[in-house]
Amino acid sequence: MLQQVEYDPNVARYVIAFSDGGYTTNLPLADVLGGKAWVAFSYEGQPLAPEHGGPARLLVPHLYFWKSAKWVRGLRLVDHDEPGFWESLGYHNYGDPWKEERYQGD
Amino acid sequence: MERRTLPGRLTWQRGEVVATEQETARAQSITLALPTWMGHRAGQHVDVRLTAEDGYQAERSYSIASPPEEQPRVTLTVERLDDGEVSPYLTDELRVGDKLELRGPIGGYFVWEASMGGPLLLVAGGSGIVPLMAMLRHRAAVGSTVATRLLYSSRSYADIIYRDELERLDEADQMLEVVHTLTRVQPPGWTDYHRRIDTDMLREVAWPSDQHPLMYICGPTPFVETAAASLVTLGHEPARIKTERFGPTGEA
Repeated sequence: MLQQVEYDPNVARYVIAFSDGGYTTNLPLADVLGGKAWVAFSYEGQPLAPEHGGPARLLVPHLYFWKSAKWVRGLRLVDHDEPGFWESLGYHNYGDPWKEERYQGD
Repeated sequence: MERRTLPGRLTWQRGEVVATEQETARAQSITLALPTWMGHRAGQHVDVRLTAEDGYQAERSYSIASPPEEQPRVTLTVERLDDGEVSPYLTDELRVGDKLELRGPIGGYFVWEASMGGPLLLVAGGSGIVPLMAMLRHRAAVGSTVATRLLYSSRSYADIIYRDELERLDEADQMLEVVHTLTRVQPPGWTDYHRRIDTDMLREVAWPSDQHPLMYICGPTPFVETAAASLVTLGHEPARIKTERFGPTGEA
């Protein structure tokens, strides 16, 4: 999807996913490129159900699931990192489950 | 001159039971229609009074589980205490259509409204979830986006009151996180906590103290003491920690 977008890879280094209801989460842009993440809108041939984040949900399998924003409205490419909703409330900024990066300082 | 007493919150009134729901083996929800209910705030409780044929009366306090938005219906969730005078009647004998005498709402301290903001930390032990559930239901009813975490301690999976509804709320809201701990028995594959709450658990689940969360703890006395002391140890301001305890002394 981001291949359709023109951006300067030296400037856009982070992505902010923003959702219906005001939720946000931040990711390094490199973590959503190259097939590492996708926007899911169907499951087993059916439209993705609202309780699972439908109509469109960011899916980032290699990070903790608060990074996989439900009801996503858009992705904003930015040049600097800024904490999203949970990240600004003490959750780990990156969220690698293999390192158990759940909270700031983990 | 005619003298009239205006109905107040400490006036006894009779409500009609319009629904009952078994929440767990020991906990039952009772929904009452209250024609002269003045409204309540999430976290408040009522006094219930039973009168025997010989005139003997027994009174107990029960937390309101329903949000203000559902008035004039009010739901109480009652845990059965085997040697109790009142709760076995409420959980075993009361039927839809019966009348129940109560007064309230009572208590203005252990209360949360969406306008008070957050972030919000709720810590429940056993049936201490009831007034906190009123807060979560109120939060959902008004569409609040206040960042909220619930840490809920139960003995076993089957003892989790409102289990399905909590799961639905958690799934439907990215600004709400529900974390369970099961202190005695855990089902296979259980990945949440499996011990009594302690400072380490609260360090992980509670907000950093510099976020200045609003904190509400409800449960049996030893549970509340442990949770409150841990939060103070972690640097939280005592003035932002509100507690509600109930007896008899038990454990979650």
